[in-house]
Amino acid sequence: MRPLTLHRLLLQCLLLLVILFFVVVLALKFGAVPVSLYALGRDLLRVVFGQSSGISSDYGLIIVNIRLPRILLGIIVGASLSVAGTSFQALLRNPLADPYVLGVSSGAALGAILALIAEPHLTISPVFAALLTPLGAFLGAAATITAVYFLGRRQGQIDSSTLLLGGVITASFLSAIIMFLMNTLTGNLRGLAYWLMGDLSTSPQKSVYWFLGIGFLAATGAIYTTAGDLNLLLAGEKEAMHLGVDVPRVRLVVYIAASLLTGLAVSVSGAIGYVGLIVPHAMRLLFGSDHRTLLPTAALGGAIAVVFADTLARTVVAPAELAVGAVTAIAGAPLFIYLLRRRLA
Amino acid sequence: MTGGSSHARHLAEVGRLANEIRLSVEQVSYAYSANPAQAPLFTLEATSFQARPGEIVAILGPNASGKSTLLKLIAGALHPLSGRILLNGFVTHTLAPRIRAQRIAVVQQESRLLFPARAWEFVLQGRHAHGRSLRFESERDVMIAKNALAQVGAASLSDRWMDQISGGEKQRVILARALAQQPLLLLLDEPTLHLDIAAQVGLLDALRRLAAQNRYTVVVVTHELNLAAEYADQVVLMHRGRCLRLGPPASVYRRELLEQVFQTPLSVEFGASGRPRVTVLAGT
Amino acid sequence: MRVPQPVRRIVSLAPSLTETIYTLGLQDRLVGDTDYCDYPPDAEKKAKVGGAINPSLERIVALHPDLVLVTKSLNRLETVRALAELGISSYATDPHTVDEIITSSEKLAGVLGVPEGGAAIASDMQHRLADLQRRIGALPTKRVLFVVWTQPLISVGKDTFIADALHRAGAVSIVDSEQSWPQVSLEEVARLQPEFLVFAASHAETTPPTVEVLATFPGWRILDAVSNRRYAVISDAVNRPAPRIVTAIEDLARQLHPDAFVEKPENGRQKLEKENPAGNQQLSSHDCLSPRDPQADGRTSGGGACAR
Repeated sequence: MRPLTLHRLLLQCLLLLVILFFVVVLALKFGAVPVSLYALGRDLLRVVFGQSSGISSDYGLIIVNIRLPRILLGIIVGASLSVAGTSFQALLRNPLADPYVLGVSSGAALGAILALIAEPHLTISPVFAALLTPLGAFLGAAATITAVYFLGRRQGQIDSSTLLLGGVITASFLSAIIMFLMNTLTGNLRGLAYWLMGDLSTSPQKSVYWFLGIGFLAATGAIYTTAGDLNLLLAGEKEAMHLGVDVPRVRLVVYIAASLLTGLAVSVSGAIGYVGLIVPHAMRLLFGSDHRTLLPTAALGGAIAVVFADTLARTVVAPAELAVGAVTAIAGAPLFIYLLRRRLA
Repeated sequence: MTGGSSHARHLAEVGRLANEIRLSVEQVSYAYSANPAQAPLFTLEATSFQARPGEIVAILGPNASGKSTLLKLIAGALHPLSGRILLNGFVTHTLAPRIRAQRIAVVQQESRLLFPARAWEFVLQGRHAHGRSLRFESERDVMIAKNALAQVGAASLSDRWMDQISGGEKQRVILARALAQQPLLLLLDEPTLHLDIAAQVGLLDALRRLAAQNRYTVVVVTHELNLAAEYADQVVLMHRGRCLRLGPPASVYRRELLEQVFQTPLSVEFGASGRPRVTVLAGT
Repeated sequence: MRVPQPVRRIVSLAPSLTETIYTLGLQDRLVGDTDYCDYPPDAEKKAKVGGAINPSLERIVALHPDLVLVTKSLNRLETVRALAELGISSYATDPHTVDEIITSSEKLAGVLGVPEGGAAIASDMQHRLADLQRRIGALPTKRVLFVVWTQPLISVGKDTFIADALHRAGAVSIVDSEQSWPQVSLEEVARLQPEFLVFAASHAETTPPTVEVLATFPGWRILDAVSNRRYAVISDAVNRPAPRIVTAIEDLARQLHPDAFVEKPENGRQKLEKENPAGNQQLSSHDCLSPRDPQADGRTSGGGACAR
């Protein structure tokens, strides 16, 4: 009997942090413009010691103002999607649940697009206007997961295949609405089409970073307070209740927080698929399925996965760029099929 | 124990508690309906019984007799339409889930697992209600879980995967998790359903021993006439949503009554222990 | 954002802007352009910064541009915003008509510090268009279908410079849509029966299908324009809002209204023809099946994809 200890949890997180650090260095080094490790180290040290002004080279500009913000965005988006996927899997008792597969990402995308359409018609301050898209994405995500949850229920129980089917159908329905909007509306929709595929190339404003960071910490923190409850929820809502879980409260907290995470991620990066599916499964294999370890390790793993995938997206066809969503889908879709087959077997 | 007088006081206290009513089901009724506007599809008529610490109560009846509904009401999973259920004087269905789980443990027919877990991890889940969600298990929790596994004779299963052990072993681990909750009341829903005879007897023997040792009040839902007769102190005989008879097996097990409830010709004999034995008369 | 003066290092994010820079003779200041900038051929030798929609910001930064040129119909607003965050100025054009192409080229010349060059280009374009107008202005306009893509059938909307270019060439698009790139049904096309089908060469990385090929497409046979071989192919310059579009307009006018060009050889086009020696080939609507402008066709990289 080896119950989880804080010591072991911290050790696991430290291991992943070290990997994340190396992936970040990799992501800083590689790109359309070659940068030497020496120049990279020198510039990073200057950033660390607050001497950003000392960086005069354009490499410094590229590293500090282009690659670093993008990596930071990748970390937040990857961690958010991965934690959201882990939460949905526990809550819906379905190992194949993922914001993308369940249509939650599409809902968030639709919410974000509606917010973009509404924005010019509203008289609001620019600060709030920048937050309108994440807000729309959150509402879209929350509405979608509610709909999918009820679609997936049969006789008061969540039916796994009905749920997945409901999610897939909801996703295609929402995508059709998005297509319709994009065909009927004029304006700068080229950006939207690219964004929809999942893209990290455009860094948001600084205020949005703060919003993202605080939102991520708050939502992940809220989910983490229910980590023990989520372990029991895997056995079913009734059984969890008998073991002392306040099921309605946990369900509400986790749905709202996971929708917020999905909404935040989608509003800045579009629909990056399968991160919330692959990463939690990998972390379960490595560290077990206890949510007290799974949530933090999945967050770090998601950050590693997205930063790595985005580095590939930036370099494979350089100087042009792939959408990072294409990279994650190429890796994730076959894994989804594998997990589905194994479950049906 | 520090001295003779305190020991005596302690024994007196134990004796008082032992005679106290722990579970009191008072005129509890319930109705299922597809929606509130429609006539109920199933009703449980007002039912009452009481149980003391260390007592095993069997809720006996055929399918759709209302015995599982009664169990859910006792567990607090359903709110009664009328009446109330008291555990040590507290109404069960108004307790917060965590408090309720510290007092009532429920053993379901089977526990489904989404991701693989080892037996010890599974048993530790029983400690959830005794800690905060984020707390890591203490030495004490681990000791209680180990003890629970030992009490059901499953200490050797500790490191096995739950999906790689037999049905009987699994049922014992599930029982161990319920023991780890350190409950006052242990509820079991058809615990012997998927077990072979040896495992059934093993489980119920363990249950009787635990009820006596740990002073649990045990409520078992079953349709196994002879197991109820052998192990129960009280039998609540259910038929079509009504409690037909309540009492020790010897008083409940009447041939005509059981034939009416189970719709099968049968004979009832009394063994040396004074407990009834039922034989189903097939083909007559 | 203010445009720094003088502008010495330019990055162009659209093929049309690259062409305009070459027309202005400022190619030495052009330090980078997109993968799709293939005209004139020298533009392909410039440092590449990726596609128009997804350029590499770091490549752009590394080129130290004074100014990045973008066009609203092609580039993303997000790119411009990101450049601004990095302290890089950009200048956007957004022509929707042929006149606006002329004025935006002129303005761009002013921004780049060569107003006299801009004025020269503008007057050249205007003269040639006026000359064209004199020749074909009185003739009845031809009803045409401009084919961007065959499967699915995509044409152009009325608020595009291409629709305006068709007008200048004595034609009118049968498609009347608010969208820039409407998908139209073949049934609707059959009902409206255009007199001519118009294709742009080397658009969208494919050469346009021949009439024989078109006739094999399901449903296309019912179009009178297919059975009568009323079919025009012009340079893909029509897809780019740059000075060279006048050449494409002239080319189309010649194919649609051959009689207007019989007697007198055109003049006043020398300046631009240096760069497009084959754009003025006389092609009748009947012999357009033969190979066309070798420069525009020989290449398979897609100016077309870029133009959207």
